[in-house]
Parts: sequence; C-alpha cells; structure tokens
Amino acid sequence: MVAPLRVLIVEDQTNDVELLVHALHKQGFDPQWERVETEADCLAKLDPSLDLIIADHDVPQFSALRTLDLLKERGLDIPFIIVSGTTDEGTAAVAMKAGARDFILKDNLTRLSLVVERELREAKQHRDRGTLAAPGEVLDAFFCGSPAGMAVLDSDLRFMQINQTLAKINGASVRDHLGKTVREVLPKLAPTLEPLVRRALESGQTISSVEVSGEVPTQPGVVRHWIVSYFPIPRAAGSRIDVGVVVVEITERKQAEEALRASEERFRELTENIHEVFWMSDLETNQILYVSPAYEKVWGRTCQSVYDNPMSFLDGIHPEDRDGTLKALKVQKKHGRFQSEYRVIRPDGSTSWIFDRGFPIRNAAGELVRVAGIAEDITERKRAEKSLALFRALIDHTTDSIEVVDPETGRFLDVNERACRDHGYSREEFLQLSVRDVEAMIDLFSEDAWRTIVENIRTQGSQIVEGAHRRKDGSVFPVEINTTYIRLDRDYLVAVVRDISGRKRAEVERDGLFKRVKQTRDRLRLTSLWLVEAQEAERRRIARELHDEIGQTLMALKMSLHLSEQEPATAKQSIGKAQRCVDDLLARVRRISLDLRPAMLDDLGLLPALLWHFERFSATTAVHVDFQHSGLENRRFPHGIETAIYRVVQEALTNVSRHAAVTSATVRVWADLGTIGAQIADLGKGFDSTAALSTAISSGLSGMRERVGLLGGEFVIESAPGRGTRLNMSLPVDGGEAK
Amino acid sequence: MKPITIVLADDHQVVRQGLRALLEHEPDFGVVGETGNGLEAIGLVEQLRPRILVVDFGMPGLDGVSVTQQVHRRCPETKVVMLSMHHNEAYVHAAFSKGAHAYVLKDSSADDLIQAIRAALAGRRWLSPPLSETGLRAYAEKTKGGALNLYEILTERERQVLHLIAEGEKNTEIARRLGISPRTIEKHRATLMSKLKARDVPALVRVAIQHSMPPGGD
Repeated sequence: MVAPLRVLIVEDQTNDVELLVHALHKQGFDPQWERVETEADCLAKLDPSLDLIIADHDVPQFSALRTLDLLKERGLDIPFIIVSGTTDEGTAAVAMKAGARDFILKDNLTRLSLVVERELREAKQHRDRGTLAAPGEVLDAFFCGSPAGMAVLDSDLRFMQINQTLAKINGASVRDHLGKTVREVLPKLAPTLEPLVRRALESGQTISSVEVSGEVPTQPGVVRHWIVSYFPIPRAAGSRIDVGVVVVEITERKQAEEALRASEERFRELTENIHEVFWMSDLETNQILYVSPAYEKVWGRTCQSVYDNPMSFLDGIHPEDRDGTLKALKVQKKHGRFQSEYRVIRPDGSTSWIFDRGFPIRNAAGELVRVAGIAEDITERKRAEKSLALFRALIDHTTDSIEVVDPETGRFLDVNERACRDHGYSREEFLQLSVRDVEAMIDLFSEDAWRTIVENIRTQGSQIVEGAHRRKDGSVFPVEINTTYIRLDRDYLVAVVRDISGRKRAEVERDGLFKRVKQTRDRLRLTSLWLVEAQEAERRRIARELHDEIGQTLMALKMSLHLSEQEPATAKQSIGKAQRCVDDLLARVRRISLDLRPAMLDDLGLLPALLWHFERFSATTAVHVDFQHSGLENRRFPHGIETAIYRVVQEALTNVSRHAAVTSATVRVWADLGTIGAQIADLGKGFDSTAALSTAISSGLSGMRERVGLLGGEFVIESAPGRGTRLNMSLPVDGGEAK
Repeated sequence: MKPITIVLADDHQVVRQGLRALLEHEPDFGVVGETGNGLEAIGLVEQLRPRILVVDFGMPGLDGVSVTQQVHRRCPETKVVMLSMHHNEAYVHAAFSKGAHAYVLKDSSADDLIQAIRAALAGRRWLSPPLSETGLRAYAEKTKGGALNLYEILTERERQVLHLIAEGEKNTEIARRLGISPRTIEKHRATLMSKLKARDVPALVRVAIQHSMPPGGD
C-alpha cells in the first residue's frame, strides 16, 4: 500500500501539472495534490503536513525563489523541487543556493521519482531525530547515571540534589547529603570549594574545570584530586539562584600522571647523565624520537641535527664502517633489532669506537613500532682488549714456557703455547696438571718439599734455578726456571721455563772442543819434543855410523894406499885390499842412504818398498813379518801418503822388535779408491795404549799419530798389557794413480 | 850401415861414451843416437826406430821405467835393455812389467850387456846375475795381493759396532750401549761398509756371522 503523497504544485500550465501528476503516478506514488499559481494562494496553502513542493521556475506571477523565502519565513522545512522547461544552469545554481532541493527538467521527469523518494527519506530521518522522550525523564536518568559527579546547591551551599556518583566520591550516601552544607559534608575541602561556589553565585558565571585536591572525611590522609565546575541555575520563579555542580574524580589519572612524570624525570636524569647515547626511533618514519644529550659529546654534533635528519649520525661514522652500519639498519627495518660496531670521527678529528645496539618496541597489538637503542663508547675496552690480545700473543709466542702456578696446590692455572709445545701437552691437559707432574729432578710429592720451595721464592721475591722437566712422553729435558712470586687478587707463582738442552749441548760441545784443543796442543808440544829428539837421535846415529863404519873403512883404505906406496913389492896386494875397501865403502854408503830413505819408495812405490823393508827387517831382527795386502799392486799414491804408511810400518815394526818380545808380526795394508789403511799387529807384551800416547816420546807413537793426523787420517792403537798390540791407521786417498 | 841400430839414453855422458865404445866394438852394432834425457829418448826412438834402446833406470825427469813404458807402447819393435845399479828383483819386476826385455846391472861385466842385447834381439828375456828368473818369480808372488782377511783390519770398536748392527740394533741404541755418540756410530758404520767392501747391511751381517763374537765384549 503506497502512502499518499501530499504535494503542492506551483504551476500556471495545467498540462504540465497533469504531466507531473502522471509521472508521479507512473513512478509508484499516490499524489494528493493542489495547484497554486499566485503568491497569495501559495501562502494560503502552505502547511507543515505537506510532503513536497514542486514549483515551475517560470510562473509569470510568481517565482520559485519567492516561494523558498516564504518557506524560510514560516520556519517550514518542506522539500522544495524546481522544475523548468529550459536549461538555465545559472538559475538552477541560484535556486539551489537559496535552498531548493533539486532542479529537474520538464522533458526529463524520470529523475523525479528518485528525487522525490530521496527527499521523503531525508524528511523522515529529520523528523525522527526530532522525536525525543519527555524531557524530565531523560534528565533524571542522565543525572543519576552520569559518570561525572553532579549536584545542585542552593545559595546557602546546601545540597539540594546529588547523584550517586558524587555521593560516592564524597564518601557518604545521597541521603546524608541532602540538606547539608558543603562544610558539613566536606569540612576539610570546604575552604577550597566554598569560594568557588560563591563566585559562581555572585558573578552568575560558570566556574569551569578547576582542579581541586584534598581529603574526604572517610579517607583521612589520602589526597585525592578532582576537576570541579560550578554554574548558576536561575530559578524561573524568583530571584533565587541555585548552583549546579559537576565533579570528575581524577585521582587515578593524577597519580598515573605523577608516576609518569617521576618516571620521565628519572629517565631524563639517567639519559642526561650517562655517557652512553640513548636513542629511540620510529620504525615507520625513521624519525628520531629521542636522543640523549650524550650524543653531542660522543658525535660532536647537536642532538637537533639528528632530529632534523635521522641519518646524519652516519656522517660521523668512519667511511669504512658505514657499510656495516647500513646493513645493520636494514636488519633493524625488518626485525627491529640493530647492532653495529663502528668508529665515530668527531669534527675535531678525535675518534671513538662505538658499540650500538637497538631493541624492538611493540605496541599493544604486538606490532613493531619503535626501536630503542644505546650506543656505548667502547674505545677503552677495545684498547684494553687489543692490548690484552697483544699481550697474550706475546706470552704465547715467547721462546720460553710461561707457567702460572697456584702456590698452595702447585697446580697450573695458566700456561702459554710454548709451555704446551715444550712439554707435549695440550692446554687442556696441562691445566689438569700440577708442578709435580712435570718436575723431573726434585721429588715434590711431600707437601713439605713444595712448601719449602714456595717459601723460599716468596721471601726472595724470585729465584732462578736449573732443573729438569718431564714431557708427556716421559722424556726429560734440562731447563732453567725463573720463578717470581706475585701478589694480585691472590698469590701466584709465575715461572718462566727455558729449555736449555741446546745450551747444555753447546756447553758439552764447547767443553769437548776445549778438551780437544788442549789435547791437540799437548800433543803438538809432545810431537815437537819428539821431533827434536828424533832428529837428534838420527843425527847421533848417522854421526856414529859415519865415524864408526865409514871412518874406520876410510882409515883402512888410507893405510892400504900408504902401504902400496911404501912397499912396492906388496903394492898389488895393497891395491887389491884398497879395492875391497872401496867396495865395502860403497855398500856401507848405500846402506846408510837406504836407511835414511829407501830410493825404492820413490822409484817403485809403497808395495816394493815395504816388501824390501820386511826382508831387511826380518834379516836383522829375526822377527818374521806376515804381510797381507790388497789393492796395492801397480798402484802409486801421493808421496806423502806412501812415506807416511812406510814410516809408520817401519816404526811400528821397530817397536815390535824392541818391546813386544815376539818372533812374528802381522802387517796388513789395504787400499780402495778412497782410503789406504794399515795395521801392524803382534801378540806380544802389549802396553797401556792411553798412557803410552800421552807420555811416551821414545816409542814414536805420538810421531806416528801426528804424521797420520797431518794427512787427515785416523790412528788407533789397541793394546793392553799382555794382550798384544794392534796399531791401525787409515788415510784418505784422492783416487790414487795407476803405476 | 850396421844392421843392429841402437839408441843410448843415460844422464851421465861418461857412461854414454863408455857404452858407445863398448857397443861399436861389435861389428854389427851401430849406435845411431844418444841422449841424457828421458823425454828426448822417446822422441829419438820414435824418429829413428832403432832395434835396441839402452836406457838407464835412474834418470832425472822421466825415469827409465817410464821411458820403457812409452817406447813399448809407441814402437813395440824396439827392444828395451834396462841398465840399473839396483840389485833388487823389485826393480827388475818394474822394468819387465813395463815392457823391458833385459835388465843389466851397471856393475856387471861388459860382456853381460852384449849378451843381453843379443838375447833381447832374439826375443828372450835376460837379466844380470845374481838376479834370476826364480828370484823374480818369488818376488812377483809376494806382490800379489788378496790374502787379506778383511775382518782382521777392523778395529775392536768397529767389530763391536758390526756385531751390534748384525743384532739389528739402531744407531741410538748402539751408541747408548757403547757409551759413544750416535754420530760416531754413523762414522763407524761408513768405515765398516768401506773396509768390508759391503754394499748394504745384509752384507755386514754376513761378515758378522762368519766371525761371530760375543757382543759388547771389549
């Protein structure tokens, strides 16, 4: 069922009216309409119950705009629609400004229904809003249920009305308030409240939103806070004025504010006094929300600069560290976490190491919103770490073991790399040990021994001893231990342990060398003596032979020659005798010459010379020589070597014949490409070879050894009393030459 | 020209003159050259290609044996007669082993030299009495080496080291047992290899086994 539509149509053309009505019908309305075409008619027909006014724009006696003015004068809010045969936008705009709801062209009435429906709907909404409950009921409900405390005071400041909320604030029931003065209900607050109320009364003005603090009787000692407003309520009946009271309790808010203020105060104190830079930035905008004043000191730039441009903190960062920090910022953008270590270069050129960290802050919904961070100056720590690392590296790479020992237990508290290497333990293993496990010289298993040692070091401050340490594999090496007693947080023994195997070896070697030098010098002295002696002996022998043998024969020769001259008769006989003397002389000279040096050694070499010598030797001494040789045939050696072998063999055989008391001796001579060796052995009396070498001069042993030594050879005498003698020599030969 | 051509080499001119006179006395002998120098003698022989070179054993510079060796190599058809004052088989042995055909003692008779030259021309060896082929053989025998027992030439210490090596001990252990340094052991080891002509340790061990001896004894 369609509701009837009450329409007033302002139109001079009845045809047009019919068209309009038809259009309305057609579009589903049920119009109850009246037509007017003059202002007077229109005024007569204006009625609040009208649903709609449709006015032709071009009615000659009337104007749509005039109709609108009329509606305004009458205070009527009736939708007003203008229809027009012409399209005149200027007119339409003026009409709309004047209050027309719409503007429709006569040749396009299809829009009409839409416009009408819209206007009806809006009008209805308008009306609904205006339909309120009865004023008294609502106000009462509002008064009673308001979360704000409310009351009405009369001019004597007695409570005439009060709502539950205020009664509760004041700590008494509604009933206990009614008829009582403010002073009676709130004695402590009255001095504050009364002047305000009076001012409202006297001035007739609203005293609004005054903050009041104080105590209510039921809660003595508890200061509460309120916002109070007072406004005068004139009574229509007379000159009497009441005062309306609105009270809002703000104690909790106040406390929260106070707590916040205190917290902010503490925060500021903290951030403004610490050396670290505290900062907070908005994750969305990157804006710096807060940066503590330390920023100015650390960066050497104003806080304002970083508020103005959040990325300006990067300008102070060492170029090499910027990339890393930018990366950290990307992480921050994603996860709200930030960590970077960088150098800050201040405008004055000074530099600091900064350790900067940021932590995510989420809102109640759990979304990342901000990042709070702290940037610390870690320059000192860095320096300390570096110097500590340097120190440790120094300790670890020193050439001595360094061991830190607990003086109480003897346990190792710390050891350096070198100590591990020298002792063959890993660091972990080493730290499980005590001094007892590595000390190889002193038995430290008795508590007393250890305590005595520690006590000694403690009283002397430090101590250097030589000792021996045992490695993991059980081997022992000599050490020099320099121990110092150190008192820090507790007592320590610091031992610098040096492996002195090398030094020990060197010492032994040096002693050996020294001994050898000394021996050589002694031997040289003996040899010189022997040489002088031998030379003298040789001269003596030659002198004697010359005198005894040559001299005697020459004398005989002289006598024979003399006789041949004196006694012609026996001259032939004498000359024959002289000739025999000459033959004898020749033989003697040859023998002496051979004894001095056999020509054969030079002419034919070692083997013939030795063979010849053995023959002569056996013939004169009756000591048989068993000669065994190899590698000598058809071979010549350098003169020095041939002479040395020949002379040693000769000398050794002479010794055999003189001292060994044997009838035979064995001579072995062998040669290969690099060496020639000889051995003269007998099974005779023997002697103490060591003693003989150091003392005997006459035996010629030292002479032999010198001869061999000069040629870089070896000379070994093996003899002991009663066990025969074996004399060994060998000489290096450079290839040798074939004979 | 006489058919038997002879070159004389002796550093004493008087001796050369005596020799020339002695030799030219023979109807078929002709001295074609003479010199007092070994090196010149070789040159002369090469140049004159004589049937006979008479050379003195003891010449300064290049000696008679060396001249003989060179001549024997370069002109094998020239027979060398060695003159010597050495009454010793060793010299004869040296001369003969280098290619001389005759060895004539200087204090023997003039006849001996003629005999020696004729023997050499006939391709026979000749030596002055009292030297004899028998004595020469005996001497040659003595010069033959090889009778040497290599183990015997080891010193006592070397024998100890040898036997410890044969027991399979390492140098350090041997050094410890003998109370000497490992370096010395190393040296002994090298000497042992050389003296015993051993190439490797098994060869040393073989020698040690052949001469087993209680180890460590001194």
